[in-house]
Amino acid sequence: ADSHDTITMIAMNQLGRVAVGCSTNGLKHKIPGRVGDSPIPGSGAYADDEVGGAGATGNGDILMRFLPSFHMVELMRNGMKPSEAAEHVMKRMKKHYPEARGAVLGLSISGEFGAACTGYECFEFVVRRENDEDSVLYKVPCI
Amino acid sequence: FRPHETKNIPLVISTWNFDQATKAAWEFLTKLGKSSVDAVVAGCSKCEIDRCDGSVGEGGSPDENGESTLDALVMDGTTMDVGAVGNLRGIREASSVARDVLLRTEHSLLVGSLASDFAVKMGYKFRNLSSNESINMWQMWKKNNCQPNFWQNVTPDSKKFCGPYRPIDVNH
Repeated sequence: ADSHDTITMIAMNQLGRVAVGCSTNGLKHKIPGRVGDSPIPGSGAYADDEVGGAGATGNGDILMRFLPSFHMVELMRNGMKPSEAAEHVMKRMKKHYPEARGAVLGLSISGEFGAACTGYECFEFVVRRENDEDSVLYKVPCI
Repeated sequence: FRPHETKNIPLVISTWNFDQATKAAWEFLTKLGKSSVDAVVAGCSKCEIDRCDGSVGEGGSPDENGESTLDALVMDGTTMDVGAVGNLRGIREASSVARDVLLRTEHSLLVGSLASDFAVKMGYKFRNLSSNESINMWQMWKKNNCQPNFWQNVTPDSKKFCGPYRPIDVNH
């Protein structure tokens, strides 16, 4: 099975305020002192109430070179749907690092969400909304 | 933006199937007076406590010295304020410390042992983050000639041997 390497979360409250967070213990057998993408704003996650939020997971050493969360928020700012923006961001990384593993997910302030991945078989994410009884698991195949 | 234009809020979305974390965030999000920042910190903290898949929180992903260190971030999309910690040592509650960086400092990112000193000042307890599982994982790795690792252009050959490594000349 694919390893689940980080938790990244986006929340939007009743007022339409967006926050993002991530937490990880990093890569197994990393060189002491190594910091991944998770604590880097725009890489591990990014939020802007005017647009929405985005978060990433996967190979942080590669991901942080592309600021995927910032990129995703900017694409949504320019009108792209989250799923389309996510795919665009993953294709950018894949072009340079075809073997790297990564996933990016995003939420727009209109309540649309989407994700894309590369290097995994598929990527799972969970959504919890007001009118659903419970959280809903989504699965996207990777590009 | 007017909230009533969106029928879907509040809303939480999270990587992987860490259901308890989503639930924890949801509970905060639907509680009156709790911010989105509180919600994501509650969600990520739940994963730190549960050690979600061994990839979040203490007792997982030992580094080359066998130590587990943590990275976390929280960002407020209203103020664009950020709090983050990198390579946090000896403190379990990485997300919560990240929120303290946001809330109690004008900085964005604190790292390493000095981030731990900050955390201790903010009331967190310093402890060993190793678990039997992470110690075992580290010992197996040592026995396996330190494979895999993330070194390159060093001697001895990092794809075959353990360190310590020294740099070798390469054309770049």
